[in-house]
Amino acid sequence: MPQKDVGASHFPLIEPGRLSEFRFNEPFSAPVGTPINLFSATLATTFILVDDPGDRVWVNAAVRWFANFTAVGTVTVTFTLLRDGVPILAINQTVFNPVAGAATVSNVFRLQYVDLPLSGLAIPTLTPVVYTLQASTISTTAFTTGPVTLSVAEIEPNRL
Amino acid sequence: MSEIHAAQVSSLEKGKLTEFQVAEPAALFGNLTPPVSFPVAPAFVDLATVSVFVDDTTDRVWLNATVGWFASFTAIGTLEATFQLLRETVVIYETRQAVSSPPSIPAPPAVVNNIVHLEHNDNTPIIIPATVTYTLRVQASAAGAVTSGPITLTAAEIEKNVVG
Repeated sequence: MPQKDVGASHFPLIEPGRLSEFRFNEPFSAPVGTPINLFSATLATTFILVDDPGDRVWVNAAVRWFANFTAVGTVTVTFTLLRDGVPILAINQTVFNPVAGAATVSNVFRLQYVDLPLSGLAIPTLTPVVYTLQASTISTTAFTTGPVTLSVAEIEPNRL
Repeated sequence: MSEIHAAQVSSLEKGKLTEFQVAEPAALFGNLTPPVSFPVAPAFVDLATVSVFVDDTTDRVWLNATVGWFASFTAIGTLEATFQLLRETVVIYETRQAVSSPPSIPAPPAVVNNIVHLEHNDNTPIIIPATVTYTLRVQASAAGAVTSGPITLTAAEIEKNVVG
């Protein structure tokens, strides 16, 4: 049962907007293994059980990635977040090599997103929702060896 | 989800996240139309605003923000963006991120993308219980920086811990 917010001096109500059902997928927590080519890659997948139409899902993700250059140039990677296979977020990040020689250039992708997966639902229904983080680029020289982290948490509706 | 298991330890669990608020003007790259150009200092442009009701002076507010942005270079150079978080009209957090052009500009202009993520814990959000408004704003060192999304700003009240 929800607890009273006993610390609230003026509004001793049940505090809404809480975080619950935290889940995550962290296939690599450190740079290890065979590099994953970001030309077209699924980096992480996790699911969460949500039940109320007003539930928010707070999605956080972090990926260290790099591009191997042999000459001056830029590489842009698009990271896409999907809910049950449907893209709901897309964001780009670029690295560049300023020198004429070979170089490996790293960057860290980090984002948060808030989703409302059961919006419009008439009655509360326990529903599994799958979130997937994908990467794509026109380059064939962008990779990740980790870390890759994708976390989701259900946030209950607020008081107002 | 119901907190069936939490009841057993509810008298001990503190430091909880509550009152989660979000402003999300755009979720996809290119969805913010028209795109927002970053003004050159000293001007700023507001990107997102959230309000959160804080009921205890011991509450903290945990702020997170993500902005995808880019610069279109027509000449070799570096462009720096300054991102700020304000509580009402007071700047409580500032960070900077730069992008640089490649050493040669192809045609059309060289577009360099980046992602900024801000995280700040506001330890003194209120003096008395009140609704507090937080704003994310940005400026750039030179013309040419733009966001077309995504932009996400969240604020959540964090209750006091059991100890400390």
